[in-house]
Amino acid sequence: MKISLQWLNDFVDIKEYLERPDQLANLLTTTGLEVEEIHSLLQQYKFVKTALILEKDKHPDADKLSLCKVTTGEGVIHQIVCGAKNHKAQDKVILALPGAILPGNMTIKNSVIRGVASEGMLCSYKELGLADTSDGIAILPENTPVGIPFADYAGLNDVTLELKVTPNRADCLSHLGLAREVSCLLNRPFKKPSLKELSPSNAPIDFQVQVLNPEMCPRYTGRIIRNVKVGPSPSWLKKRLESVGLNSINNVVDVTNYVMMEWGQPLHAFDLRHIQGGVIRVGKATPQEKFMTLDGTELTLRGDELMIQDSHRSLCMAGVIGGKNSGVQEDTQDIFLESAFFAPQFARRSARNHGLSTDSGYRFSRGVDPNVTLEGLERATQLIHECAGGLIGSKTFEVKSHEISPVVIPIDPEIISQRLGYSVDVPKFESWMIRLGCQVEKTETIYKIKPPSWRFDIEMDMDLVEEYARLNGYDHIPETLPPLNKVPTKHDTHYSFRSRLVDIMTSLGYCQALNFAFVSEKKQTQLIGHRDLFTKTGLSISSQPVKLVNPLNEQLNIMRSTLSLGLLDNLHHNVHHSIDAGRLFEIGSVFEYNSNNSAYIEKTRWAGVAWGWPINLWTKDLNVPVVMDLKQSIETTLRFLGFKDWQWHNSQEIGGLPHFLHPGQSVVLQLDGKNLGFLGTLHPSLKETMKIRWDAALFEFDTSSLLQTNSISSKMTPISKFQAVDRDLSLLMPQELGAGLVQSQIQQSGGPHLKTVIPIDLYLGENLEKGQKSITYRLCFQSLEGTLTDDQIQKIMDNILLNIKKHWEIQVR
Amino acid sequence: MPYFLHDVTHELVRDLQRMIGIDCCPMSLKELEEQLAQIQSEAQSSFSQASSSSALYDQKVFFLGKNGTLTEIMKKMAGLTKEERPLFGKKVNEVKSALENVYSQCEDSLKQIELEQQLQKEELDLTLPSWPRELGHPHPIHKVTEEIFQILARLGYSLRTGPLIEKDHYNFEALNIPQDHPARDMQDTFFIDGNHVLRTHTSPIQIHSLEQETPPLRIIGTGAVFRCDSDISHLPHFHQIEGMCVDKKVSMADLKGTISFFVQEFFGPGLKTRFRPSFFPFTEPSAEVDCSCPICKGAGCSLCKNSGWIEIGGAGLINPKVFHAAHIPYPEWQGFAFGFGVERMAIIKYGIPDIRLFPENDLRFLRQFKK
Repeated sequence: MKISLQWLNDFVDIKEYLERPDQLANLLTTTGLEVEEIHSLLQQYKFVKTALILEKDKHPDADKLSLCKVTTGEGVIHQIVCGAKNHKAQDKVILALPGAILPGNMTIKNSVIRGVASEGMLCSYKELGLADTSDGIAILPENTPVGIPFADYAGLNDVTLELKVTPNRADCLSHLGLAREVSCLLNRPFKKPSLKELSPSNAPIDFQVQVLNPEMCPRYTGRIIRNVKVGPSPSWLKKRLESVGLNSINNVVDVTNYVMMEWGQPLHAFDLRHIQGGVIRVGKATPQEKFMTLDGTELTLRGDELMIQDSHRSLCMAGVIGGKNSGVQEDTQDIFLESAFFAPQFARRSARNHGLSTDSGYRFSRGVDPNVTLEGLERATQLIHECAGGLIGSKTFEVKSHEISPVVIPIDPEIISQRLGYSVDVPKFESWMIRLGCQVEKTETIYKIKPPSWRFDIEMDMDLVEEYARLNGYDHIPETLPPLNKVPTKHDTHYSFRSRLVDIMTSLGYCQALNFAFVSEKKQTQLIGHRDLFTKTGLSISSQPVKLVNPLNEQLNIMRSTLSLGLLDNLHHNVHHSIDAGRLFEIGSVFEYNSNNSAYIEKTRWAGVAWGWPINLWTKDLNVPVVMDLKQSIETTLRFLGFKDWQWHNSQEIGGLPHFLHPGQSVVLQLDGKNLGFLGTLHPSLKETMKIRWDAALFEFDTSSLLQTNSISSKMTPISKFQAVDRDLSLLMPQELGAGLVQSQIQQSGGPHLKTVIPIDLYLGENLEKGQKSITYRLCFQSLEGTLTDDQIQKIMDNILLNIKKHWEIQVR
Repeated sequence: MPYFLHDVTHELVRDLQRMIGIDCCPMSLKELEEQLAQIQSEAQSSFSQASSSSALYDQKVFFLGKNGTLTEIMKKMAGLTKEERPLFGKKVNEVKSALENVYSQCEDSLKQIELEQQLQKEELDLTLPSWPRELGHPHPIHKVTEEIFQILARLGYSLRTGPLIEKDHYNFEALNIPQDHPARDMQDTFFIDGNHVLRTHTSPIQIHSLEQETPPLRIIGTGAVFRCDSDISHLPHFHQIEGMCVDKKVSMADLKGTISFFVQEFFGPGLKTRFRPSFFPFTEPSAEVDCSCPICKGAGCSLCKNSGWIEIGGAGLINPKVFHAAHIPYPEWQGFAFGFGVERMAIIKYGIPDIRLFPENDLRFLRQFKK
């Protein structure tokens, strides 16, 4: 909200702050009203003066430039190079001297233009920020005095503050309100404008006001003014409105805006000839009713809006916006002026439901002083009478349903000391309360405080604690550490797990990605393809994604069901910024909707993407597929988390995998018989669409089964002192059989002495039967009790063979 | 007696036994001595001419081996007299020992040459870089969250999380932000349906904690939050971390002391903490928290816009209405709460110029944040 200091000065003496507005701004900021910006015309037009052109010559070296001798009085002559054409000798002009900083941060300096010194700039209104277009430099009237500051000449000596008013301080949304606050802060008298006695006409009035919903409109006042002359506002009024960023419309509307900015009371003026039936009714809208606002937008009403109506139709959305059918026009003669108190929650609801943001709606929804309704009407009547003439109606309509009175708050000053952590100065507290406008009653130990009507935000003792704290200064609050009275509790296990996963993955060389939790529905649907194929991997997706009611745009319109989409975007971004090899992982939530119990489910996923290898002299012959590197990292992680018996199943076993994966280079991870998700090489056609030259692979797993890691025992197992013995086992098996499954079977049937099984050779040669492959595993045996004999090992080997032959058609080679 | 002589005598005995009954032409001592001298000189010259340690070893086997020339000549001792045999045997041993010496000298010098050749051959240009194999990097948001959490954990705070899709009640109502209250305008909300929103702050975590746990409480809530606001300085999905302390007597001074401890641990010693009055529906009194600018230490710079202060978050004493909503008896239990924007903390601490770098996940950005 914009505050004009000149205007503020009408109600509290702050003249000295016009020169030092930063001091006032600082005072307001440190007591709770943050000043975001100070705009000082005085500062802006420092070094800008009225001047007289003494001589105008051609620039010796440029046809389009002129060389002027300009005086700012007292024999001071400045040589100025000027590019404009509309000036001549003896013209009165505006001169910006070196040191001036014009709008747009244009700094004026002594300069040399085409070899000729120029000691300033003759300004156009555009360059001064006072006009949008320019026809050349500004030529001032002949009688303009020379050498006076331009700000003084133009009356632009105001300073405005941009105030960030928090929702609790609605009382400061006007100049009077802020003046009251400043008078409290500075302990200076508050000069409330005295309302002049009105001189109403005697003409009888046949008009009625009815309030049908008093809970929504506890107070309604109005007055008829006849024979007003609608026209332009006087310049003082225009200037005041402009200083706070409002455009002048006509004298009647301007007065309503003026009173709003001055008293904080929004008003509305109706054209009396459009009020049918001689009645104003304040009541709820009819559902589906059409209403056209004064700016021409047609709204369909819900039925819970409070409307100002006549005998037939709605004229105005109460406290929010006027209707097109009844506003003041150029030819309006008689008006009905309204000043009311609408209950904040209803005004806010109407404004919000229709997306309307108006100065009036803003104030009513935060709350206006209920005691200022009538005063606002009086002030506006008086100003309309002054600016637009007219006959003031003999009757003041006033409907007042109930008193709105602040509650009395009992407070023991001791509570202030306890809650602030330093001793309260009781007399100071009392005086602050009085300066705030409270009624203060003192009993033996406690005070009874009744806040003023405009401070309806003060409802309880803690509000008074805050008032004391802020007025006394937050800097008085000391710094202490509270004693710890309880043994600290455990951290959230999900967070600890995720944190551990981040540690492991970063140790493995992966960088952590964090993507938005919302994605494009279209892109996600495209990526996932067949939902069944995706869910078969163990990653669940609800049939309908979780949609946002009000997304920022179509690119971010649903909550994600997979992390892969974001990671593929990251892959795309990185390779297209020439990062030819990379490893990324993400741990984040995906979202599901369960329509059975109407619940939203969030699951934590662990996903990653890898592409390329670092190209280097030492690694040029390294020929490992990227998906294997990814697999290595996953298995290392699983081992580190304490898992042992997981399995990988290929596409055939699962019965198809998502279409973005290479069907021959993708697997599903299984732990304790449960599918957790997929790992695979990116499908070549997707790679081509994404224009990625490098080998790339990705994985995504559900983490719910991995969370149990916290319960896995971490007790140490004994280490054998005896020799380990290796045995190689070459097996012939069908080519499509996953050799990893055979390996797990070997491991499982090997008993406690089989320490490791490592595949060391894969052979797909000519002298094998078609469709067969030969795999050699190296088995390492070791016992805690002694060195294993050949007989012992052979027994175990026999058992292993028996076992795997039970499962598959496998021959020893 | 040298060890090898044992072998020789044993062999001799065996040879003699074998030779009984075999008719041969015995050589005289003189002849044998001449032959021995010749072997010695031949061996010496072939040892010194050997071009490699393996060729040298072959020569050693030829002259000194089990079936080498020296062994052969020993066999011929049979034709000598009883008196001559020890004399000749001694001579053979002397020659053998001399040749062994020559051998080890030659071997030493050849090994030396060969080692040098090997070293030369195995030379690597270690001025060349190795291949890049780096540790990965946590996302700066995670890193900053962890740092803040670790500092507060030392004061006894425990970490909590909560759902990102929240009921209206937890995100607003229970935090004293009723329907149709202007405070709702302070947070541009993404709606999921009539009763669910994407949480606009991490404060709902406080409510869950108040409902589920028994005071005293020291809780950190952290995670993603959402507001429908996107421009050069706002992301629609960003992160917060906040602390809550509930105990019998809790004051603004306790709050300020806690934040001051945090500020000095996180940004550096000596930095000051400043409170400014503000408004949050869930705290009363409320404060904006500033700390002296970590870059210029309060002297004024572009980061703090020459004010010497940087706004880092909001704080206050928990509003009694929040306790009432969570059915915690007030003023028996009191509390304070404070919160920071994680992105903002990262921007201040690491001088990140553009908030849009966070969700981009560009490796050139991520690789700058060490664990």
